Amino acid sequence: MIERVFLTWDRPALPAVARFLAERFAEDGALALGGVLVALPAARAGRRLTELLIEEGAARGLVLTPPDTRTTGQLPEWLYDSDQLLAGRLLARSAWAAVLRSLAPERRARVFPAPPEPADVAGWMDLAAVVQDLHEVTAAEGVTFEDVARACRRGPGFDDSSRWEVLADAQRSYHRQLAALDRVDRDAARWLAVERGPVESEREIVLVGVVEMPAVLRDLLRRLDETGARVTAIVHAPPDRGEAFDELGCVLPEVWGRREIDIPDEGISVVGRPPAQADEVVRRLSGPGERLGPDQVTLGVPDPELVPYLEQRLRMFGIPHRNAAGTPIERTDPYRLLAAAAAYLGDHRYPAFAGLLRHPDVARRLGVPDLLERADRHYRVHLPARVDAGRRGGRPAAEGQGRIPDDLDSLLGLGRLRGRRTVSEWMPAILALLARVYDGRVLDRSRPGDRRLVEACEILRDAAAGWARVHADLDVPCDAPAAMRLLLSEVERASVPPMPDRSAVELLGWLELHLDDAPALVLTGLDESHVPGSVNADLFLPDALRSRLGLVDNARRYARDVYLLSAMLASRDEVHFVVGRSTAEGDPVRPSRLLLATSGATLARRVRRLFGEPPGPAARLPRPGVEAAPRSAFRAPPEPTIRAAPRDHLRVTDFRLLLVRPYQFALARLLELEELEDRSRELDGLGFGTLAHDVLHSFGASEAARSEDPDLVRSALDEVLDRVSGDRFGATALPAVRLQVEQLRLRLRTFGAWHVERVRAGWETAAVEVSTPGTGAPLVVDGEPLPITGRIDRIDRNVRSGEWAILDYKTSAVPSSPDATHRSGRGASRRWVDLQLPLYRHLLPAMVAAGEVPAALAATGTTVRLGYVNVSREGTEASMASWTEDELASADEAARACVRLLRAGTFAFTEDEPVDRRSLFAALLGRGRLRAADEGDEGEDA
Amino acid sequence: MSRRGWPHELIRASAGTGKTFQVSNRILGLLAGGVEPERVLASTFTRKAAGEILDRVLLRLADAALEPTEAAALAGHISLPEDDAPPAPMDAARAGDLLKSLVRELHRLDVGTLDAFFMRLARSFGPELGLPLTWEISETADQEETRSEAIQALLDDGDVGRLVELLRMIGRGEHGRRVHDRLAEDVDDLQEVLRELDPAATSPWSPFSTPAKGGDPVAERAALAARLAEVRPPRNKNGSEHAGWSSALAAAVAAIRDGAWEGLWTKGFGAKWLGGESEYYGKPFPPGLPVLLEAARELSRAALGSLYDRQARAMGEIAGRYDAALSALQRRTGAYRFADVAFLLGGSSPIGARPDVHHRLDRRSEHLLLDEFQDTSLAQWAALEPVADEIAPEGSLVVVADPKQSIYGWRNADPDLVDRVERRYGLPTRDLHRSWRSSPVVLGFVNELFDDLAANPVLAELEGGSEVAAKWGATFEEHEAAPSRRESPGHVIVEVGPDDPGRGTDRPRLMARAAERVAGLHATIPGAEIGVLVSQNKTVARLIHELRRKGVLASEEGGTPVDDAAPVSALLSLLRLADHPGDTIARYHVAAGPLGEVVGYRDFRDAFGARRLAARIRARLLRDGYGATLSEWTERLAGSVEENELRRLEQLVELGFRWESRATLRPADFVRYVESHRVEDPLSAPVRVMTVHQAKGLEFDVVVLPELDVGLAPRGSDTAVPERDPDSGRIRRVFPYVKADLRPLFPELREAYRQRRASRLRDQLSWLYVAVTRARFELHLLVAADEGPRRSTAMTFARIVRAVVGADGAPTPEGEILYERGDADWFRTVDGMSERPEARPSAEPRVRVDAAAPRTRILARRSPSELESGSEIDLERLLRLDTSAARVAGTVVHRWCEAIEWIEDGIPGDGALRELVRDVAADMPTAEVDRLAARFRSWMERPEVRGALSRNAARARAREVAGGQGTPELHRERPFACRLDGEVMSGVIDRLVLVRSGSGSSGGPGAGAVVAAEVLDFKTDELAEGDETALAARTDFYRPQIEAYREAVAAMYGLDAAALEARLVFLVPGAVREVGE
Repeated sequence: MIERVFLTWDRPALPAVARFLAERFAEDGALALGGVLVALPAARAGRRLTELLIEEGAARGLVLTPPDTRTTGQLPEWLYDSDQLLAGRLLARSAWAAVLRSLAPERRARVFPAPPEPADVAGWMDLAAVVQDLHEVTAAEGVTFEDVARACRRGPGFDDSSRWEVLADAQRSYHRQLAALDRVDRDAARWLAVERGPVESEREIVLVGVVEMPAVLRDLLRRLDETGARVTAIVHAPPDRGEAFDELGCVLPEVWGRREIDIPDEGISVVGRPPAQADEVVRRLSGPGERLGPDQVTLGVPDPELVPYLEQRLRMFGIPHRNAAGTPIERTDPYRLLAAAAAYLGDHRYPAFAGLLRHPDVARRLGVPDLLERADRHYRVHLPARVDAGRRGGRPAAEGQGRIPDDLDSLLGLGRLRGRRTVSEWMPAILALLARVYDGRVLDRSRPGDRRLVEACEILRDAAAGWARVHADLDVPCDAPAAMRLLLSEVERASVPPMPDRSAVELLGWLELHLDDAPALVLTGLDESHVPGSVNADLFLPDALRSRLGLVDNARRYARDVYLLSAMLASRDEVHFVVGRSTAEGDPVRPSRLLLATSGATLARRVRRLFGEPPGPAARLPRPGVEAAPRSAFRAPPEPTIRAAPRDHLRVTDFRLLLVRPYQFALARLLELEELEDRSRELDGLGFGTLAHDVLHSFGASEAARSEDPDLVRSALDEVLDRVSGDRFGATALPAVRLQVEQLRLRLRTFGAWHVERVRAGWETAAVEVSTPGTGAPLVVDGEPLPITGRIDRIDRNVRSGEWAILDYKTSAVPSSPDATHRSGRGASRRWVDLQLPLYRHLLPAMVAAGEVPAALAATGTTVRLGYVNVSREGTEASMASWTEDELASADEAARACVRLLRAGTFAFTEDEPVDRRSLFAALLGRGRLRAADEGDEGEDA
Repeated sequence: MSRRGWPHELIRASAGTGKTFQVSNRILGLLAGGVEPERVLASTFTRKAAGEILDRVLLRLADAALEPTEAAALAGHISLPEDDAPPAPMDAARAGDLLKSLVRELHRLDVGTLDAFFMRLARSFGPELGLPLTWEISETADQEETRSEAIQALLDDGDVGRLVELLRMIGRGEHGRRVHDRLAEDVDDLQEVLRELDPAATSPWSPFSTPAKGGDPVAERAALAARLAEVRPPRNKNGSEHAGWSSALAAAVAAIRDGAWEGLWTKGFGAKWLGGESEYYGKPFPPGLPVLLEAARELSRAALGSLYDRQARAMGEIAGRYDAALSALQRRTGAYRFADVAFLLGGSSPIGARPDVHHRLDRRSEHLLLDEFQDTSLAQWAALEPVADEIAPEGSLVVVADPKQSIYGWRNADPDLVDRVERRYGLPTRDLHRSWRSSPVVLGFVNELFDDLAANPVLAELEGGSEVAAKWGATFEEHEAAPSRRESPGHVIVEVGPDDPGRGTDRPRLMARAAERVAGLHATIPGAEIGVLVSQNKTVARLIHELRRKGVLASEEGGTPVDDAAPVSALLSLLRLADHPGDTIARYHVAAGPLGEVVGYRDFRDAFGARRLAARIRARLLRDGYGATLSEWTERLAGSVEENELRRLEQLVELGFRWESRATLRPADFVRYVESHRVEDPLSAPVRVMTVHQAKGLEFDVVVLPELDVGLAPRGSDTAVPERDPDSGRIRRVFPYVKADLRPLFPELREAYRQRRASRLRDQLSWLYVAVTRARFELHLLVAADEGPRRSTAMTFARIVRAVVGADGAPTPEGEILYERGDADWFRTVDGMSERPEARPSAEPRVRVDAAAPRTRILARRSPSELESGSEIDLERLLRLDTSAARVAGTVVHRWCEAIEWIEDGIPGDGALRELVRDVAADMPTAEVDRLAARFRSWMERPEVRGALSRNAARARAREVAGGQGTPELHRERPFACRLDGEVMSGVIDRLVLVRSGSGSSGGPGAGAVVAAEVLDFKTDELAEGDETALAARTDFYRPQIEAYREAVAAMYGLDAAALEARLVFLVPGAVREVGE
């Protein structure tokens, strides 16, 4: 007997249900509900009902045997016995994957023109999931894919039957496949039970707030009714609304779809973006009225994107809260660990490696204190694309690769995740990876962090166990990353529930709100894309087709939601609506049609409120204890004046910064600040210049440098380049680096030709890469010497003229002249901005003294010219300076000024100091906002 | 006119003439004419504009429903097909009905952006488009990453030599350093060109028709050089050879000999000759020279043409390789751009032409409204055209456009589409020139500026300028003020500001003057919304900086990245530190400022501390998320920052929330996300600074235009210069960039370069038009001083303006007013201008929620089974799959135990046992079931186990505790739920024996109160028989669980501890252990 019981909706549903059950089932000092199965739409309501039953029992002095509470989704399996074993979801999906793979390609192409690659195990499972979803949506309503095809053939509009026929074939194969495995599809088993005839149940079934159910459940309940089993459908509505529900207490779409909802206007606030919505929620929880315990208020949040904003504001205002949806497993450490490991194992590319290293648990497990610095420095020099080339039989990994990948492998046992095995065989190995990472951690479930870790591991373990048990016929071979991805996709919708023991305002999703019984409800995020959440366009089942097939469609969803909202409004003391008009990105949002389910002048006024002048930026809600200061403590730069102990020497290359950007000199040279990162996708100007210098130095020191034979010079340069770049980059470097090496080779060709010409003109290389010995060469300023250090790239002597030249290699894109680089401004305002070449003059005596360069260089009367060898993208040429003695004297004076500045030891930042937008210091100097799309010149110098 | 009676229409709507109003009129007309909402498909350029259209439709109906006068007005604005009698006349009641039916079907009314429509199409046809199962539109920062990966794939695939050659070719023959970064600048443009190629074009990437040369170029050059060497330079009056000519001739000889053609044609008499001149140094070319130059031209055409052709082919090859690499990558990652989606939809068999489009989209659109159509790109139109084709014969098309406002050429918008669509569908045109926005004074200036554009002398000076101006100007008709604006006051002024000689595009002095003017205007007219519209992004930043220094609250439309605030920048450094603890710049940034205190890091040299901090932050970000972590830092920093910085920090927190769904393990990824994200200041500042592009669709009381001195000629060197078919807009040929001096060598370049110039100039004229039409009351133009001997002759907007006000060609010293109309005090007669409404912050709310109130619902829940061993977890054990198998076996055994009532009654047969397994472990293999069943039977033979399950023993105990009257009452798998210490304790007791004081059964006659109870719990631990130590350990392990059962039973039945017994039944070793209190 199916009995509908109407509990009036002027109070929340569950307390009334508890009362009803207590009255019906109290007997002899007991409230024995052991024989009752209560079905509710969501698990949370079941737990709350149990609580209320405990209260009822206690109030009436009855010993409670709680009922079995189930969600409606779980109910069918309690109503019938299947002769065959049911296929679990995973097995079913694997079966779908196998079936889809085995379809004739030309037929399959009608549905999926571009199927995954044969080896893409996860891709096939994803495809299977799509079809499985379709199957579940239709099968629950008793519709087969063949039925859909038939409806398409018969129906108006486009005949989509050719796709559905293929799917129907697949569906038949799927059922056969399961039968061959001695299993049956869950929905098929349910329908079989319906067809077999009356269904028996030892238990009495009580449906609470079940306002919609799939056809199969409906029919099972009817079959149950035929055996006289007792089914009670408790409807949360006044008895006089009986005509609006069917015999099982479900809403009648045609009735509820037309109903109006009575929302008092004062209950609605219209605001802008999510932060304003969160503020408004707090406002709604403020002001007059009696104080509420946290559990007397519920926040309805149909749009999960609002949750963080709400949580933030609630925390600020000291309102304890708890998001019932929990933490998506994707945001837990073990999930991210497996995802990162899968990415790394998939292709061993550097970015994935760097990501894995930054997983806190991996870093902790590796126990290498300077792990990331080592990795970053390694990257900066060697620019690896992959980190494991050494294992692949190519050239050995570049030197200095470090032991990090090996450490990773040995500590995490990644080596055990190589090769191909079946999915089921991979599962223990994957779990073992987790176990190794967390080895030795003592975990306590009562600590929130630990609990999250433990629960996430449990979810992963259970999913892995499912895979490990998958039928041998469906157990496909794959590599470990594919198996990891399968495992991860299996759990991706899972979440870790929040800690249970906090007294808090709960944030609930739309479908849980109706059976919640807090007296105050604040609903936010009630927009059209979430409630009633229409499905219009669809790859397979657009709404019109759904309606035609009797599947859940927009009309049914709308009607259900009209009922749910009506019931909430009727049964709560307070209901507030906070309507947001924009998304976080500022795009307009359409408020839910539920808010417009009214008519006449009320509707028109409501439309004016909801769609009228978009709310301006509401005054920001003052945050308790968070108040801005009248004057910021932040400075850009953070220390406007740097006082540093003077350096005991200067490099010739330091003067450029000291002259023009003294503050940045202090940052770079005194504080020795440097950027360390791993974003470059090729050699930057400095790296390119260093490589070129290394090659040129090595060449300059070789015998070939004396040759006039262009071929010999060219091959010598090639050989040096191959050796230097091979040592630095090995076989693992980024692809762009390989090409840059080739670009450099082409530049070196022009250098070779230039060099040969020079040799032919009588020049010989007297020295290369000469550094100042010991502490450098003293520059006497104000009677005190300051050592200057430097390194000269090349010193040439012309054997015919006796002339000497000190040369500096430049590898900027565009050739530059020494004067243009060293001086700036016009006429009287021309001044030194670099002193590198003039200062070389002062290094010579010390170099001579140390025997590094011929004494002739420092001899009186020797002509020494200073200049650049520009090895630029346009070719190679020398560019010599022609400064007069007076000019050089003024350079020396500028150098002395620099030394005095250094000795003063105070470096203040002034607005005049130029800051390159692309400078590493730009952020520090507050020029972040001037970052612009300027394209920089290519190439800097080493 | 369509067959359904609704007219097609092309509305050419000038600025401020009410486009939204027109579109809403049509939608309202359709609805009033009985058209179902789902038959309407309306699109516009931005989501915001789409929202405004929908709002307008709903509000006008609502207003009409509430007020008869509004209903009458509405009736006057909407038109219905003549032969189609409206269902009912428009009055308040009818408007109410329409409103009701519209909101009921609101989800079916499609008013959105083209991109949104394309997304829906693509989602419904993903497999057909070759899209992966899950895909999405990626964020800007991610798009850069995707591009980078595709470039790397391109570079990784193929012969290094070939790649070097390709790079050299697109690098115009030079050996640059940059490879990846160089490609990153070009590949998207090249791919766009590739996608817009005319399918009918043959070898579009080989555009030069190089004449086949049989001879030896070196020899030919040598011969020609020799002949040129014989040419004598012109003589000076004194009879000597002209030195300039001599050296030019020598240089030319060398250039020809070496094949250095650029040198020949870009300098000296070669350049003159190519430019059509016949004199050099004022002397006519010596006889014989032109013939030689003609020959040189042929040789250089062959040589350079072949080089350029190779460059073009290299571009084509790179475009193709990149396209393939990117497509493969996108299919793998599912990360697409809107442009990709549009391109796929409009591909060789456009989705819109498929017969099942209506089916999958679940709607049959019969009325198409396309707003802002001038911003539509070719690719978008290719996707949309089949949809329009289908609708046009029966339904209606309304296209609203203003080609004069097309400023998105750089984003591939093609305003010529407007004409093409007009022709294709024979759309009747309606022109709107009546402005509801601007005062007559402003409109007067607009008219002066554009009325006779072709005659503007500045444009005439520009190559092809008159032609473009004439075409652009043909679409301009005199603007007039709408009736409601006719009396509106206004003011237009063109003022000369300081010059910044030699500063390139940076004009610091002029911008400082602009900031001064804006500050002055704001002070005088505090209630006015002021828009400062500029041309370059970097100027926006500079102006805002200047304005803020003057104390004017200015914001940037579209926003800037939030790191313009110092504390945000510091926090980003903290995140950089978390990613790269070795980055000492980041460390210093954190440690040297107030943030260091907050995070406990004060010495940037402390490497150890940095690593620890980095690890802590990464763990924290993973655990709590970016938003929550940043929020906490923000609160802790709040006392150290100013109001506007605090707002920026809060925006950073928001970005953290948005980032969360795709957070990676790299904090640096978030930093990049923040840096690539523009965020508007949430306060609507009285002064807004923006580029004209961002000002589109906006209006201001006062508009200041300070950056008119920017060049009109195409700047820079595009990688590719396409030549398009004038009818279809498709690309026929692609040329490489050729220096201007060399272009005369190649007549085939002419059309492509003409198009390039024309489209750029057209965009610029539109830019100027958009700029001046944003103003309601006042327009303030600032141009740089231009005087003295080195007066500028560069083509700029400023010169166009000067020409209009009659000041071109004359010196314009600083401070001069070139033009002024209207009343500078206009604001005195306009409401609301004298005061700025301030948002008053509300008082800090006192929340009603009492955090300390005791909890009454949704109590914490416990189940005894989770108490085994207390709360410590052995993760290694938890992660073993064999424990999972053991758990399954345990479940089966419990099910079997449940089936035993009293041991004296026997154990179910094998068949029954197997049947029971089905309920709990359906997939347990039969052999395993049988093995387990055999073991189970053996366990049930053990004396201690039998004793625990014995009816006789139970009876004896019952009599003992109840003084001879006790009756045992057995419950198997007894569920319970009770409240203990403010928690709900619930679970299932394996076996509960209650002792009642009477002799009857529960509830039956004679049954008395429960006076004692025994709890039994079955355990399947694999313990050795007789291993007492292990048994004792396991008993301790389970003690908390059993105690919880005892407590629960005691609470349910009100029993003393003494009346309760609890036993663990270890089945494997056959031992039963009492668990005492």
